[in-house]
Amino acid sequence: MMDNLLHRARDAGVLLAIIMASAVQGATPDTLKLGDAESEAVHKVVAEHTEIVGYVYPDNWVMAARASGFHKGHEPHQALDGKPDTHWEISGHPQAPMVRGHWLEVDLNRSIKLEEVSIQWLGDKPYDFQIQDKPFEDLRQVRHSGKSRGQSTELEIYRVAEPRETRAIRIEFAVDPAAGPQGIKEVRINGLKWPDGYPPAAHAGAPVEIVRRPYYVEFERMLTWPVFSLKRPLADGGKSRRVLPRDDAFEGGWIDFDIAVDPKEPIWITLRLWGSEAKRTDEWGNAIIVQTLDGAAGKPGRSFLPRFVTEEQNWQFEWYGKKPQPGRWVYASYALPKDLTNGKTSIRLRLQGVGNARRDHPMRAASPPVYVITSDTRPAID
Amino acid sequence: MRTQHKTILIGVKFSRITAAIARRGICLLIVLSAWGAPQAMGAHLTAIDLGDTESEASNKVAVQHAEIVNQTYPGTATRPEAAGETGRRISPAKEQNAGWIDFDARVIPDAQNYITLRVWGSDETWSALNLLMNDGTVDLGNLWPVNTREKPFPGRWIYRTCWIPREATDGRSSLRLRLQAKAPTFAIYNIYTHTEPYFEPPAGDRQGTPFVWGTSREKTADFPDLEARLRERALNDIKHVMAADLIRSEYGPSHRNTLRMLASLPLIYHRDWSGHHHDPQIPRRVRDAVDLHVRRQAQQGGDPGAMFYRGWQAHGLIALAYHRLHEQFVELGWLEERIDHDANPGTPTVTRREAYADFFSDSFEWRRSDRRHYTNQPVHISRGLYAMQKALRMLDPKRALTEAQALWYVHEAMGLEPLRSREFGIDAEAAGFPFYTITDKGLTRELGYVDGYGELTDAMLLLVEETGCPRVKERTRQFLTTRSYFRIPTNDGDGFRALRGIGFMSWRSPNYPYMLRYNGIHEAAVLENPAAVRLGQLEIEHGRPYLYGPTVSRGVHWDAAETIHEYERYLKLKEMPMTAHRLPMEPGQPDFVWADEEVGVYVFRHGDAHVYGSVFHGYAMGGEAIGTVGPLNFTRPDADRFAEVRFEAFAPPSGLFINVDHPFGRRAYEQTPPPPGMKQWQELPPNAIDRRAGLAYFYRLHYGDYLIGMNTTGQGSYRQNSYVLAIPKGYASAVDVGTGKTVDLKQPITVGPRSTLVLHLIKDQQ
Repeated sequence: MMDNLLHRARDAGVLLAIIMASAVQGATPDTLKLGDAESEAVHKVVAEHTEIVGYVYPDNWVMAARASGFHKGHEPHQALDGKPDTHWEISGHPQAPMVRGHWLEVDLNRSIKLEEVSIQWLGDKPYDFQIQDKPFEDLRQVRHSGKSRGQSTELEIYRVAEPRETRAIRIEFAVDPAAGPQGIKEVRINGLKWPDGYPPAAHAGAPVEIVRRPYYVEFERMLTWPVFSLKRPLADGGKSRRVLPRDDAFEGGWIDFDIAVDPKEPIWITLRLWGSEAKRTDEWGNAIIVQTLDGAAGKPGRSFLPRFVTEEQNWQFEWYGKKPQPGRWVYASYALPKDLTNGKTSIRLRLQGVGNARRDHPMRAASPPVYVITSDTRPAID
Repeated sequence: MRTQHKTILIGVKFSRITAAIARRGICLLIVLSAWGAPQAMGAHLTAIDLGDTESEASNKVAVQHAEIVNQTYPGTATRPEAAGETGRRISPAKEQNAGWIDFDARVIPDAQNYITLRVWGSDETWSALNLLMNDGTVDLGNLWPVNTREKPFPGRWIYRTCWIPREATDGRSSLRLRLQAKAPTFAIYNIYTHTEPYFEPPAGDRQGTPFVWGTSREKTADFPDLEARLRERALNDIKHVMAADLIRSEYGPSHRNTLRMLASLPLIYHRDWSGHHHDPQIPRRVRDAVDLHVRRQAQQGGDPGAMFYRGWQAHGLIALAYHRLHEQFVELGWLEERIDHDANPGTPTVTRREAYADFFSDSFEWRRSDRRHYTNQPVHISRGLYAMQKALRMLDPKRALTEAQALWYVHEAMGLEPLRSREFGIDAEAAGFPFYTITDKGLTRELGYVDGYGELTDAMLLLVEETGCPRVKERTRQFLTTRSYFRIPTNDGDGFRALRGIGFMSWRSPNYPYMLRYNGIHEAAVLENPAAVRLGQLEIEHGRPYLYGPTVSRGVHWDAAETIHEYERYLKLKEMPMTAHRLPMEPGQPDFVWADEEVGVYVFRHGDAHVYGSVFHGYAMGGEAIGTVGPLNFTRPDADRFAEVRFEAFAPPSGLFINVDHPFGRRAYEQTPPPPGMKQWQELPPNAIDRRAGLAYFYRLHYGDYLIGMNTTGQGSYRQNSYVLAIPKGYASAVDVGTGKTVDLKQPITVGPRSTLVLHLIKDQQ
């Protein structure tokens, strides 16, 4: 158990310390937005050796890419990398049971109203193509069909009639054996500019990752299919607090706060962290424990490691990465035993920066920024 | 706590009552007359005068390899005539079976019975002596489980009292017992059985000459000035170190001495009186030696653990040798030289700086991962961790911890930070019940009290000087002051006054008596607090250094650095004004009570009686569960009572038991409740467990006219509680030994958290 917690704590860099006191009165779920003056005042936040930070990233939609096939060195995500000298490329017919043409599919991190798609094609032969959306889980519908101009030097813009919400876009084109290798140099969605909308990765340390997923073709399950995950950042630009290491002490700073609890049910404390560090947290040497603060003097008492850490945001999304990853929200959830909150409506907790789950290594790097702290009867992953 | 049959049922009910009342923080102890039929103190059920034909016959004494011995001793002021006593010494030859003495003993059924042996304190033959029954088939325990390397109580009698397991005596009024030894042991003069733990000798018994503290050892005519002798010793050690072959790296019987000498080289270099002040060969030798260590570690696959195996101090000594000469390495440009760091021609050379930084960084991470938990271990290890980080800060600051961060490991070892080197410590801290290697009152924390391994001021002084940390110094001062309670006046083998430590109640390798204990010259000069200065000044006053020859004995613990320091510290000590401070057990000092409830140790002085004891000693699964047997030493100038007594122990029920199969039967020992959030105490590994599982919340010991109540619960902990001390019948009043004040026994006497009360009970004369 301890090893598992250690591993998870290393991933998250967060341990939870719970402080017992009554400050915030109220029902769960209760949410504290760190860095937000009003929310911090309500929750009586007191912090030392922390800093308020905020990460503003553009609203990036493109998350991952897959294709009916690809030549090595011309993977599908290269149609989204903004580089003129790279492209997605395929030749011949798609493998059975795919019967129609080749396709490139782009996954988005959320539903958008698809209005236009811009494509810079590979080669100078025209393409007979369709643009399909995916309004529901496995349903694709053609939103635009046509023929390209047969040039490869600039983007061609295709407008979609009756724009509607979609989570993925597929560009499918007919196979033309005489045309030689076919493919796409660049794709743009809704006029998003590169690189903000389409960076291959949020950080240099977050390369494009290949994840193999089960894939269905004509209701037939292909064993696995490579998905090129771009690991895009999703910060909402809000504020957060980072716990900082200290040169003058073994452990780092801390954040004390009140938060509501349920008097009858055990509580989960979930931290929403921004996992934008390229290095694993155990390499950095940062973690956060949650501690209770006992007595009037608020002396640290019991302490807790996260029960689990996840980056899952959308339960429908088939694509999950390793945790934590740069450019991702990470959720560290701590289970508080019932005896700590029984009969209480609020408690006072401390997020304490430490170096590792055993607390026998100094904190040597700032923790991932904590944006939101949620108290609820179940883990809060929004 | 279920300590005796009669208490079991009452105890269960009591526990429920306790739980109900405990919410108010008060526990009510019910006086139990469960000790069986009241017996007048001093009344003996059995009294055998060994060597006396009539007494042996009436108790059906039979012997094998146990010859009669005679003991004579001179007269005293009150009994001027010389006298003699007879006894028997069990002394089987090597090729013989064990020797024994069989006898009939009367006991009280359904009561706690004890056996007392009268032993001569000047005896020089000591070994284990077991008590058996059923013709030697059932072992009831070793009556002498201590090391005795010298006369324990010269010229006087020792009354050795041990409890007899209830399983042997319940329901019986007599039984046949055997005292058995497989090697020659001490002579036994009298055997008694009784039901009170405090043994009162028969009124007619003759005692030896009361202890008189001898005179101080004088300087002999051929002994030079002390300063000159200490300097001579230091210079001789320096000469030895300078001639030693230290440019070597190996694991073997002498590697520790080699590394200590290596670490002392910089001290020699920096001292203008050493004869080798700024001697250029010293940095060269250190450089070449460290290069070798670096290379050997690289050849071991970069595994520091393969260098010196468990070696707690090895890498730290190398770090000390280096960082004490870092400036010289810089001046001489050695750090930027490229060296073959791994004896592998296939790998490129690296700068000495990189090679050393890697060496100390890797060694630190390895050593950090196992800092152990018996106090002396983390203390020694933390010294090395600190030294390695200091070296690394000099070589590559980016990779190093800050000073404050490196100090944490020293603080952890000194009990200033919670222990996190073991899972039990981490779990306990997470549960809000942190474990510290040294108690709040300054005793080490292995299991219970420990003698040799608990005398850690020498190691701590190194931490004080090498870290310069005020917290470490204060903690060491406190530690030393605590240890000063465990110094008793004694006479050395030549009859000169000396100080001895306390070892009989050490949970491992107990010694009775413990050795003479001095480290005062070092302690006084470094710590400078009253107790340390007194110990230093007593060491000089007692003339202990007059035993010093011109050369130090270079045994396994020898360290030239210590000899160098002793000379320099003496120079400081001799300039210090005489302190008015007196050690608690020095003659003429007032009565006192001192206790460390976290390890169940009590010490008190009342008139001419010195009492030491422990209620947390390891019987019953080594502290994993609550025990009700512990050692006690009650010393008066004319007689010594060295006992294993039973007492009562109280804690809320936990439902967690450990069963132990003794030769005399199986017992279930209950554990204390674990902290909230923990369902049970750890079971494995056998040594690295939280032994507070066996520390009861409250102990009550009635010994003679003394009543001890010890509340071990900590203020603010989940255990916090107060207890009302039950007063035995037959006493009209009492005096609080610690304050000297009279106590009204008609009022409830409450013992608060983390406190100990010792009452001297005064009998009701009606």
